Amino acid sequence: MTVLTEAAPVSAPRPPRSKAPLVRAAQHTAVVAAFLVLWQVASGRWIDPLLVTDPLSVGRQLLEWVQDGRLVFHLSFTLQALLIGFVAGSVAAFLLAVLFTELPRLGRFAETYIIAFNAIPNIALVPIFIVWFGFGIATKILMAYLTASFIVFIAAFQGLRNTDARYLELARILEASRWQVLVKIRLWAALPFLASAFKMALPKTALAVVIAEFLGSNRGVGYLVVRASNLLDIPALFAAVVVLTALVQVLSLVAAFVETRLLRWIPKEKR
Amino acid sequence: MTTVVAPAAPDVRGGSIAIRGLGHAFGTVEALRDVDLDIAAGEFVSFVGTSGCGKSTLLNVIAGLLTPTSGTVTISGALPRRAYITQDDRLLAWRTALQNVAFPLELHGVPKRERLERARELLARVGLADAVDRRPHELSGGMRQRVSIAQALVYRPAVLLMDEPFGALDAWTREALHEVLLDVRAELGTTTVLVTHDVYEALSLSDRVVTLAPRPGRVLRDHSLRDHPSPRDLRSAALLDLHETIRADLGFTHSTKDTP
Repeated sequence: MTVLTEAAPVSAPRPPRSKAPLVRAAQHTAVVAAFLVLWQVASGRWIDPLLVTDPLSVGRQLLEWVQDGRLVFHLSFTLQALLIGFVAGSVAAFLLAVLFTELPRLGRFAETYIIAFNAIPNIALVPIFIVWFGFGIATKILMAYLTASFIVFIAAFQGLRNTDARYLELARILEASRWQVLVKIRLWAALPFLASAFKMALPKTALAVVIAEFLGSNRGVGYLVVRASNLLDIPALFAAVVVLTALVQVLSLVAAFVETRLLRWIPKEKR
Repeated sequence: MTTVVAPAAPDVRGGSIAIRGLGHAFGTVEALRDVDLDIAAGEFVSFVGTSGCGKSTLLNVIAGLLTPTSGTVTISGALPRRAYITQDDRLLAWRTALQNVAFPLELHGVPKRERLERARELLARVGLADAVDRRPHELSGGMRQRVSIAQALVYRPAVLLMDEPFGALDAWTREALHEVLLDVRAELGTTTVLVTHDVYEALSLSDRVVTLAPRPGRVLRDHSLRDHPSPRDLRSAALLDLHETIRADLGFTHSTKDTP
C-alpha cells in the first residue's frame, strides 16, 4: 500500500521582508515631521525660544540665505577647499603608498614617521597654518589635504601590501612585469581598502575644513556657525548646523555610492 | 641554486625540464632530497605519491614559486613558459570568467579581440560557454576549477603544471576535462606535469608515472607507458599489473585488482 502524505514545501519563497522603499520613506518623513511640529508647538510654551529657537525661524533663516546668495557663497568656499585638498591629498597619498609598496624597505622605514605624524591632532596645527598661510583658503586646503592624505595613505598602503598571495603567485608564474602586477593586480586588490578609506575620509575632511574655518575665516560654512554664535543669533546658528549636517550627509552618501559602484565584483555579504 | 629558464628554438612548443640534484628543506624539515629527473619536450609525466612525499613542493619549485635549497631546475622552451593549475584556484575576484581566462594573454600583449575570442573558445571547450560573464564568486568550485584549466590552456604554455587539478570535480566533469586536456595537448604538444594521488588518473593520462617516496621526498621509480597507446583500457592485464606495481611502490600491500 502506498501512503500519500501531503508534501510540505521545504523551502517556500519567503515573503519580502523589507517593505517598499516608498513606505519606509513615508514613515521616516512622518517621524521627522512630527518631531518638527512638536518642537514648533513647544517653543515659547515649554522651551525658551531665545535659547533653542523654533523650526520655522530656522527655516526662514535658511530661505533667506538661499535668496541672498549667502548659502552658495559660503558653501562654495568650503566645498572648494574640500575638493582641492581632498583630491590632492588622496592622489599624493596614493602615489606615496605605491612608491612604498614598490620599495618595501623604504616603506617600512618611513611608515613609522607617517604614523607618528598622524598622531598629531590636526586641529592643533590650524593656528600654525594660520600664522604661515593666513586666514584665506590655503589654510583650509592644507587641512583637507592632511586629513585626507593620512587616511588614504594608511588604507592604500595596507591594501597594496596585503594583496592576496595567490594573485601574486599567479603573476609570477605568468611572468607578469612589475608594472603589470601593480596595475592589473595590486591596484584592484587595494580597491576595497581605498573605497572604505574614501567613505571615511570624505566627511572627515569636510569637518577638518569647517574646523579650520571656525578658527579663523571670513567665509565658509564654519564661518557661518561662528558668526551666528558670536552674534547670539540662535536661528542662524541652528541653520548653519543644518547646512553643515546636510553637507556631511551628502558627502557620506556620495562616498557610499562610489563604493558600491567600485566594488560590484565583491559578493554583497562580504562588503 | 634556482630555477633557470633557458631560451630554445622558437618552433618547439613543448619545453623540456631538467632537474639536477634538487633538494629543498622547510626549516629543518627536508621535503626533497637529490631529485634528478628529465622530462622531454611534449612528454606527459605524473608524480604519484602518498601525502607528504614532496610532490607539490617539487611542482612549486618547477613553477618557480619556491627557490630550492640545493640543485637546479632548467626549463627550455618557447615563450610563454609555464602555466600552473592548483587545487585552489587563483582567479582574480574582480574579473569575469572570460577576463580571467584572457588574463595571461593580456599580460603577453595579445590584442584584445583575439584574446577574448580565444578565451571564449576555451571556456566553451570546458563547458562554460554560458558562464563567461560571471565572476568567481558566482561560480561553483568545480566551475572555478574549469575556468582555471581554461586559463592555463588558452595561454599555450611550453610547460603545463598541474597539482591535483581534478580533485574537487565530480567523476563526469573530470572525465570530460581529461579529454579536453588530452585534445589540447595533442594540438600543442605541451609538456605536462601532473601531481595526483589517483593512480588511475595517472595511468590513463600520462606517458610516464614517477613514484615518489616520503620523508624526505625522493624519486622512487619511473614507469614508462609509451607502450600503451591512448585511449587506454585500464582493465587490461598489463595496466592492472602496472597499477599493482605502483601501489606496491607507494607501500600499499593489499590488492585492488578486482576493483578498477
